[in-house]
Amino acid sequence: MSDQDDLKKLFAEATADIRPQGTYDDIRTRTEKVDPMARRWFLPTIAAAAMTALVIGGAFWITQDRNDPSAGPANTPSTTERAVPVYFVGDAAQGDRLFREFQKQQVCAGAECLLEAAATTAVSGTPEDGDYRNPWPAGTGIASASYDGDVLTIDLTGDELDELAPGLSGSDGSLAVEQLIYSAQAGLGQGRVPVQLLVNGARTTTVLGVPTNEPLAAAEELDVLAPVQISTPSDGQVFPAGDVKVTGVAAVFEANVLWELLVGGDAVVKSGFSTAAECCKHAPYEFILEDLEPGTYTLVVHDEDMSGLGNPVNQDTREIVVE
Amino acid sequence: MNATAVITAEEPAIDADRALAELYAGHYSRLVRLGVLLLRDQALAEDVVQDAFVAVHQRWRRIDQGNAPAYLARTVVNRSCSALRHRGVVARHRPEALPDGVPADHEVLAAESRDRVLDALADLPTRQREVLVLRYYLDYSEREIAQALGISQGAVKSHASRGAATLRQTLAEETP
Repeated sequence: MSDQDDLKKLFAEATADIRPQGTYDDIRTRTEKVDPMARRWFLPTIAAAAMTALVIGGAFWITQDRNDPSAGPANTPSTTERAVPVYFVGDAAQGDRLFREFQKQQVCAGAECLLEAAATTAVSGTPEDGDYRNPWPAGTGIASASYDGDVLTIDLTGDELDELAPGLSGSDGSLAVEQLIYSAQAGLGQGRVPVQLLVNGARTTTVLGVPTNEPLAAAEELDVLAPVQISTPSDGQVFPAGDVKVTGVAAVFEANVLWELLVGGDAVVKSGFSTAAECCKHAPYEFILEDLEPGTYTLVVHDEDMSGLGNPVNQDTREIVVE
Repeated sequence: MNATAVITAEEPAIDADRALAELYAGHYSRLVRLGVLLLRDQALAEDVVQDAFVAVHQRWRRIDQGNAPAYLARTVVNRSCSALRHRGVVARHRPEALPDGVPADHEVLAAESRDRVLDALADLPTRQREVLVLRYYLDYSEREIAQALGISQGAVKSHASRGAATLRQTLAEETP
């Protein structure tokens, strides 16, 4: 038996008696409903539990890496629920771009706690929005993240970071590195400070194909951030009936941000537009969804196709539940 | 993607609903099996694959339609990786074995053999597992795997040879 045939045969045999369940109609039912409905039945079973565990895992990690031997879980500095800013990769009209989420996690109170939480979530966390993804190899972690007033240093752990270095051709690896840089800078809150990456405590030539001998500057926002992003509400957030405020950032032509509120997949129940604070660079926008009645809605915020040719638009979506 | 692609680049653009029907007919079962090899969990594999079909339907106008089957496979691989990440955080234990129903003798033997292969695959690093499954289950070329996973062909070779060696060794050790 040749080297290759034995594995082909093994895999074929291992899957031969699997009888896939799920009909075409099942999928049609989901596409006919609101698109995030698709995520609703997938996410609550897995992601909801995962988010809880993620918070616990994060808190454990933070106490685990403290140098102070007395800082065990029993007398950990008190943690509070904080909004951890973290970027993930999603689809934009130009290709893969970064989207920011604020994830609620139990984080200790110090300045660097948020930095550590943001960096850890960036490389090993799970996006709350099912449209986003984490580009880092499974098993990547953070040993430490610190700022000395000059350079932000992140010590990564993982076996596949060097190994993949020659393999990642450009964009995927560099976007992953940008995702970590942007997340860490957001967690630190000191602006776009230079970031030095280490792997297992030492400087390496590259991380995921990106040269890391020296501290890295973040790439231009317009080159890596998705042009239209929703900051709040978070995906699946539940509100009482009434008004819901939407906030986000957008870098769009003439600063015009359009939005629709859908129910049942394609029925528009409300629509409108808002204006970002500035044109053509990432600037905040906000608007109010007024008098929402109970139900499950999909909010779509997007830019305009100025060509009139039906080109793809940049968008971000959220599912909103009103009770 | 190999020649089994239902939709080819030569065909004119078709609407998302028809594309979904053709993609389902041509690829659903195979992708679920791909998911089982990656996840060792059939129900989760079905969730991930159906999710991938819904995503393709939603984004139909924005994806490279001629390569929709490859896009689907890549989505299944990526979402499986995310699902494993979830599960790794939720509980660091191996999932329950696949349900066997009330099998006949030869089915019991088949199920044991299947579980051994799935267990051995599950013990590999994620990237090695992905490369092996794309190579030997979907029959992707090294170039196609490199494109699907966003790594170089050199890395594909390296993951494939290491993964295959470990897999063969694990299975040889366990053979009574």
